[in-house]
Amino acid sequence: MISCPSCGGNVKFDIPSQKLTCDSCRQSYDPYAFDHKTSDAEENTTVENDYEVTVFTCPQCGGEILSTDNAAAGFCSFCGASTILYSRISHERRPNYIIPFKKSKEDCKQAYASLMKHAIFAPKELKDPKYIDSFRGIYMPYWAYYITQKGPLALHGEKSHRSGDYIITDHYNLTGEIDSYYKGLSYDASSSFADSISESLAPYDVKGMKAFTPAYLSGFYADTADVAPSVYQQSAENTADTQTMEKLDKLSSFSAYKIKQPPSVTNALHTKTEHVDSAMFPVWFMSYRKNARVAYVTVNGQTGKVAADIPVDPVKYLFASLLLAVPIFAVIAMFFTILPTYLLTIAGALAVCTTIIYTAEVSAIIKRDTHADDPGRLYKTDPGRMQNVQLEQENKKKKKTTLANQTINKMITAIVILICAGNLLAVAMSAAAGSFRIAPVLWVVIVIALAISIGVGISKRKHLPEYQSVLSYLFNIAAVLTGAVITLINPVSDIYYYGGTVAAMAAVAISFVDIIRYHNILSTRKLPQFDRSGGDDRA
Amino acid sequence: MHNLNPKLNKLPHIFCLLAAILLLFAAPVSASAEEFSTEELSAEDLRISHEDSGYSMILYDEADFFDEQEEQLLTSQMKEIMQYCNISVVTTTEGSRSYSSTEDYAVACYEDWFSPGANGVIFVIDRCKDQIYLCSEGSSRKIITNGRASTITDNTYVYATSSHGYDYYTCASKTLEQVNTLMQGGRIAQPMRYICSALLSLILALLVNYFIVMFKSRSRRANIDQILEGSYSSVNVHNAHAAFVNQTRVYSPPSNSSGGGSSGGGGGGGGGHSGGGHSI
Repeated sequence: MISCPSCGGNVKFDIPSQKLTCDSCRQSYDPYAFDHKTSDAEENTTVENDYEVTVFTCPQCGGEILSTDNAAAGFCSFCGASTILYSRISHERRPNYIIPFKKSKEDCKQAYASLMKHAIFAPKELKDPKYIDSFRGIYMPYWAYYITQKGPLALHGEKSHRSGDYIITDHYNLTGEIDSYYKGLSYDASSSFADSISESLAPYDVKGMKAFTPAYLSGFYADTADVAPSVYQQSAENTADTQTMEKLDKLSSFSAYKIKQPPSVTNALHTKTEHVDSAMFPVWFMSYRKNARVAYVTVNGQTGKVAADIPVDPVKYLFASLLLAVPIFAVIAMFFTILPTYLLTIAGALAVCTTIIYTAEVSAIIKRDTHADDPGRLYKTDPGRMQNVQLEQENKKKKKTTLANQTINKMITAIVILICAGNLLAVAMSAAAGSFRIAPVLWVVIVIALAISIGVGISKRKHLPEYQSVLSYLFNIAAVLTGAVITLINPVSDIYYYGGTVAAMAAVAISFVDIIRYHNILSTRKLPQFDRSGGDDRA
Repeated sequence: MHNLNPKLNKLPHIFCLLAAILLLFAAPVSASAEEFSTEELSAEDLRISHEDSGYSMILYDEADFFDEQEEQLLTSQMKEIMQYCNISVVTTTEGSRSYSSTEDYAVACYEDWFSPGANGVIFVIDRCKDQIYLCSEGSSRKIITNGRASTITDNTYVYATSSHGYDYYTCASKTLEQVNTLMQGGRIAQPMRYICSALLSLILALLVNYFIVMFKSRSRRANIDQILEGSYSSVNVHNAHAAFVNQTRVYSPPSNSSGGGSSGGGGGGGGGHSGGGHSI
């Protein structure tokens, strides 16, 4: 805790004035007035590079947040648990820079409220003022990369034109001295802060960074940097490479030529990470816990941009759908007469549509819950895998399927071939009889799309057995096969078409139950379990 | 007196033979001519006109699906419709064979009997193509639209199937009844259509709402330009120079495809028709 030099009261960072203000006497101070560190940047002793903080640890998830204040913290921002966090005094490595909070808690609440106005399907708890009041200001650790590209440039350019039957290409050597830099390409350095959130909160204006002093943390919390800067170095260099290549394309001297991508852009541009700065960026953080899942609402403390996981209230969703169905029904009833054959085809197409959505959601959940999209988290939980994610993906394609999967695949393929062949035969026969039927062709497309979608879904099943329900697939398979067979037989009585349509639509409705359930899984995250041993490997 | 020339004696035989051959070939020609003539005559013979409205009706039961009493009942129904437009009911087992569809046959019959674009309705029970078809022309198209024609035939096709003992009379009668209802400004029942439309609407609503949820609830990631705007960056190339190295030629003749020649305007001209049918 920082004490007021005048009255001894608690001094906290005041966002509007960007100064430290005493709670008791309202006296304002320059944040750097409390920094006992010498200004000599060359000094590199442990004492000068550290600052004293209270580390609060959640007894449930192991998540840690730091504070210069030693008042007890009553809840965990990471897992949403309402519990007194363990505290201990520790010394943390000083970051180089900090972007102080520019948006107050009120600004943050307003930005969130504005977002929630449009979130018509959100559970009412997310709009509860008491819940909204639990926003906590946390400084998140980031790595800011300084990348340079300096040296002789030698690229290959082309100019092509047609002359008669020939395309004539002139080849050029594009040369020069490149002198480029990117300073402040930032990536979050905390394994507890998902990359998907930090990417959504971006951009931060690093031009607003200030030299770090612990006084800025007064009244706020901070997360610890536990991801090595090397984790995102390649990504930062790739970003620099891509941007430079794009800018070279537009450079007046080279814009007339089509620049060929060199085998190694990094080598061609002499891309080099000069140094990596550690920085603290401001985030307003709130968590919403339901059962074994947690949803995060984060607000960029500099710009006010909101990134929120917003689950759907199934009752609200169904009610809104019933309301929307009324005008849609009016339009269909007034302007369209859908023949039973086409009605059945539409129902089949919708069944495939829901299967594709369902499979896409399963894929997204797998990616989220296995942290495949979060190198920082993988670095902490499974460093070996982080390096091999790409290799794993390639290997997956090559992996031999199991005997059970082979049998299922063969059965699906046989059914698909049978249905498709039958329908195509029906088309051919109808065409030969002088009346071409389009419906069987559409059903061939539907059956193939369904088979591909389910094939992808089943191949992912082993990664997420606890979530993936096959019931939805079974209903959709039954509905689509029934529809395809009805179309193939082409019975006179409409009752078969209407029956098939009702069955297909019932399958679609059942699928939607799963789709919304999965959306809610996707809109929340697994309860975190951190095993922190302290972060920055440079420390 | 004898005929001294033996060749002359053979002449009657030759004539008889030629006549027989000619008759053999001529028989079907005259038969088909007779059939054509009968067809046209029979349709015209069956025409009944309404004095006030000027519209007329033709009940042409070529397939002989109706008995006399049924024909009388249908005629009385058709007379009611005749107040609003021309009306024709046709049954056939062979007549549509040379047409690609029952629709074509219905249009051809109607336009042959009432002239193209004349205001009216024709209902065809076609056992050749196993289909019933209801078609309208002229201002009746505004009332008997494609959708309504399909709805009517959806409602009545079942009587012309084996499940109802091929009750063509009821099929035609119910069709005329519903056409008359619409002509009088009434409404026809279409329960299955409404039930399925309701289900379809609900599913579409679920889908639309899902896309709204997707659009609203997923956070937008900043693009690289926005990220670079908030960082320091500069790209410079000093002494930029392009030096010619060599030239390559690749044989690649232009594609021969005509590339979208206009096929001219379509359609247009003349009345057209509305209609809908159902297999039986």
